[in-house]
Amino acid sequence: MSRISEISAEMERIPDIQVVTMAQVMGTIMNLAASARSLLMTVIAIAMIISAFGILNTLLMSVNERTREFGMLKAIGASGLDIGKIIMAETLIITVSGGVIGVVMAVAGSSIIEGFVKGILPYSPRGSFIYISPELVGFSILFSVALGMLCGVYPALKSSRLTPMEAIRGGIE
Amino acid sequence: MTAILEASGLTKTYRRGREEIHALKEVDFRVEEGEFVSIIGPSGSGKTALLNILGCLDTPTVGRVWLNGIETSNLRERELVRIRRDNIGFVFQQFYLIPTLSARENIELPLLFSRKEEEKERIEEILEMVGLGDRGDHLPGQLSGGEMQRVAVGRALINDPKILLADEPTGNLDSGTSNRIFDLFRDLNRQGLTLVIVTHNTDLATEAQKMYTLRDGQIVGGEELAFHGR
Repeated sequence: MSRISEISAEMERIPDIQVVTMAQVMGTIMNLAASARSLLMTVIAIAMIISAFGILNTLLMSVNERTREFGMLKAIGASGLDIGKIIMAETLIITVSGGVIGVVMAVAGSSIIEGFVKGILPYSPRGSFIYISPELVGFSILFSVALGMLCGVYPALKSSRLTPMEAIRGGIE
Repeated sequence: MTAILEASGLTKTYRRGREEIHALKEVDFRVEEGEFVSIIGPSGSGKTALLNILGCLDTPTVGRVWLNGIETSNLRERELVRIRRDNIGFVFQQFYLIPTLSARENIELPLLFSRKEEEKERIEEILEMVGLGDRGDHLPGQLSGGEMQRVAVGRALINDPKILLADEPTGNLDSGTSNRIFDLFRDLNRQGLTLVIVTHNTDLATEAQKMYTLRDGQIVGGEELAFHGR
């Protein structure tokens, strides 16, 4: 082992011979895997930013559509805080179910993708590539809830600050 | 008699773009406890603006309002919430019921915000009172317009308000149904509730004890009517 570089240097003296050691191959593969991983992370980050705006937009729309309803609730005795709580509670329900559905789809989807990757990979190891850890599942659900709640704060604040009159006339300008 | 609701020098000005809209111009208004008052006037005369200010849903630009002896025109929103909750029942033209809740649940809704526990009997009593004794489990979509408005009236009554304010309560109803809603109002008034009803239906407005006419933001006429008291 210790003589690998010595031997390869010796061999490369022969014209038209290039020596690539297994260690170099491994290094290149590791580098490739690392760049693939960072590319993947970038894609995930972009997807998350886009979906955060999607959530925000959906919540704002749903709140906007129901402005009159909130106005009525204020007229029958709800405070701004009550309205904010209603919106946050709804957001919580939506994001928890979204997180759970997401995890279920990820589990189902990943085994489909695994099958596909194994089909095109020439040397695929036996057994499963995928390991779903309970921590990861917990983290995913918590993260989606946290992201959703963060997106819910603004619509909730906006509606809770509406005066009843603005609300009944309808519409957040 | 004591005034349950009093307003003096009410002026309300809105801005719509560059235009200033004078919805109310120095209106003085008074409602005695136990009275049944109607306010009529063409659209744009300021009826709704007046009702909303009286009901603490809006604040006047100038002027003062007293509800049950408390001046409400300079209170902050947080205090107005409590005043509205404890004193005022609102009924709107569009009913504004929650479509996924049954009639009974819609009536119970204000209790969620007042954090009051109301006994089952009281809720059933209100359902009976508004004539929906057997319709409590129906969703709004399964009810007629008149029935939906009855649910809205029930919802306005659950917190035992001192005064019921209604903005065009029969605006979406045919005349027969409207008459029956007014019969309900008269019944409630006979039981001691103070009512202020805004309407453009003159026939129904004359069923009240007092009728005020609003035009261009000013009260141009007040009539004591021979109360039918049927």
